[in-house]
Amino acid sequence: MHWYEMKLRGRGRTNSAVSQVCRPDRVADVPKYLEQVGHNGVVMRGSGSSYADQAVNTDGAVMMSGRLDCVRSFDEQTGELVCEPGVTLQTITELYAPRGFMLATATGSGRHTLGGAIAANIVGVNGHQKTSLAKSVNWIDVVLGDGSVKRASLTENADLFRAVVGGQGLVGAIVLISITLAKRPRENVLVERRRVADLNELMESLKSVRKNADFCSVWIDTAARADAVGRAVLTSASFTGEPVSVPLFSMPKFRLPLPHFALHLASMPFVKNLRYRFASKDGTRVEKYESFLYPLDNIRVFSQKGVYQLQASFSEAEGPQAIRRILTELSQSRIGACRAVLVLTKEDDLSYLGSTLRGYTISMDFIRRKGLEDFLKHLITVVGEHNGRVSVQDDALMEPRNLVLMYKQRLEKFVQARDLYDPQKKFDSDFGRRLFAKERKDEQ
Amino acid sequence: MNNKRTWIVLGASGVIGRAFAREAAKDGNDVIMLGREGEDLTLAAQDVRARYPDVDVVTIALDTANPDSFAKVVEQCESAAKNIISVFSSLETAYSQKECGKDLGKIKNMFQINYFSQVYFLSAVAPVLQKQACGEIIVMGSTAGEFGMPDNYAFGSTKAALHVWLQGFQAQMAQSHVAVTTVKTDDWDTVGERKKSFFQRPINPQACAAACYQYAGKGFKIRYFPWYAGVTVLFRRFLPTRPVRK
Repeated sequence: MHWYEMKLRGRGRTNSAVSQVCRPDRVADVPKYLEQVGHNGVVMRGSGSSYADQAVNTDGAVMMSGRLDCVRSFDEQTGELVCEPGVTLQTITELYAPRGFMLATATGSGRHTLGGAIAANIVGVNGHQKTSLAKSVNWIDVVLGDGSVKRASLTENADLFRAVVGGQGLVGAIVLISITLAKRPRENVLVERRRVADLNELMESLKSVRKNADFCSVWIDTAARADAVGRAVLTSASFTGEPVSVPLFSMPKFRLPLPHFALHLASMPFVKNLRYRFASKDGTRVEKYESFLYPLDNIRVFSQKGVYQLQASFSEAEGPQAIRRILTELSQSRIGACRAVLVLTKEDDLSYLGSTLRGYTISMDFIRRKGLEDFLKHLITVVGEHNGRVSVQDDALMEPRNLVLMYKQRLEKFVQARDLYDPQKKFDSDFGRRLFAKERKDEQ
Repeated sequence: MNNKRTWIVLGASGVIGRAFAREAAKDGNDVIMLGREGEDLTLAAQDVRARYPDVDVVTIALDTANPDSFAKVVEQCESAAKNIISVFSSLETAYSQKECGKDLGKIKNMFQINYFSQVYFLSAVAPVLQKQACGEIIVMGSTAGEFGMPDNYAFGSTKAALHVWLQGFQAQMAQSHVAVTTVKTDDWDTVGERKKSFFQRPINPQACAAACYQYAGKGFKIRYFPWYAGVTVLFRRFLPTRPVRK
């Protein structure tokens, strides 16, 4: 049993805190470490990919799951993989993609641990086909605050399952996962990139993409104004049996630690304009599935100022209108997002704190600057007005009232499950105290 | 015989041993995993099998308290091995100086595992490697064995003894074309006492294992992991003692 003091921060560098940190080497050690947890509880931390305070615990404890990375079994017939939470998505792809299997969710980064990805219930670029990661989870073993281990699935302890999945580690620690890997239909993917001039054209294009493509993501130019609002580069991809196309010239893929100003550049209107102009009007190429995945891992950007992420989901009916309003307000305010991506989602999230609705999910990154927090809080209100949901997985600015407004009965169920399975609030984090502080005060 | 190896991994139930077994198996080598009998060893073997089903994985329980049984274990390893045998040893146990001060038996225990067990096992396996006239031995050392620090000098002394023994062993095995590499790592967060680590990040076991695997066959005598640990050692050696201890 070894604890030490460490300063940890979220990926966005907006939140940081000094915590007592431990790294259990084996699953059997997790309850032993839990016994030693004191004030402010403990939160499980995977790769630390959450942008804000989800895996940060001021004056509390943080349990790193990186060393719990054993694969217990893999069934070639059914695709069932049983493993510990510290196994990364990249590892799963490296091990099982050559054998013809793939994770149900194709995320932007492969550095997420599987446990972390389930605790945040992440959505990928194939969200309109496969929904979230939780749907492919058969069961999870969860260590509760009292040290007992409970198995949870959609049929067994369903309330615990729905609370832990997407629950940001506030209910229990996931120590074992059974997940079904999907059979990959073909080896390669046919990637199509094209420009769309405005939001109306984008929405029309997305209708056909939803039906036909296996993967879809949209880069949006948030600086476009007036009629051009919503202009974007639409990337769709489908599995194909065609051989990989060899381009005459391709940029080498570096894992560049880019300096801070690179992010500033990315948020400047003329750079966005260039990106839009240089995107081919109608270009296709065949890529290997493994190299198509995890595009965000090729670039590492350091930002000393910090980056906020706002991810919001809207229904199909409200989506176009809400997205238009957000993009218009963005361009009018001249606050450039350094990244804005739109993906499609197939159905409502099954977890209590899951944000996705059948429709659209837009995700935007902003470099921290004066006045930005107020603007983002305003955008959160806008999301609420359009019956959307702000995702809690990377949020840093939501307030309890926003959460009540957006999640309604789901929030009540989550709170009930948390009270039932962790009455002592042994699992807690800065995120938990920010959004559930009132509830805690009431109890005291 | 082919160019593939059968890696004997001592301490396979530990984090670094498990990580090394994966690295070796990833390259298509067979693995014989030696460790304390129990769930950890079984899980580590299951992990390698689930990741790389084409690789032969054998587990053998090792009783570190009884070094006389090692000759039999080596025999078992020799009969199970289908390829050239190489050895990776990460047998290690560590207690902080405080714990050692309270119970001197802990120092004896550390010497038993960190020094005697490894020396006995490597001595037992040496004739097998000498007979095949090739192969690699990689042993995990520690920068704690380079100089005594107030918080872990008992642990450091076990490693220092091992380093010295390995120097001689290296020269002896070199005559039979067997490379012996000592990998000295900076402190693990599971070893000794670390009060603050604002500036020092814990070592990633998988990266360390990958580096160790890369060192195999390259004829290095001593390597530091991470690389800057070597620089730290150099500074500590040549700087006056007082400011360093402060």
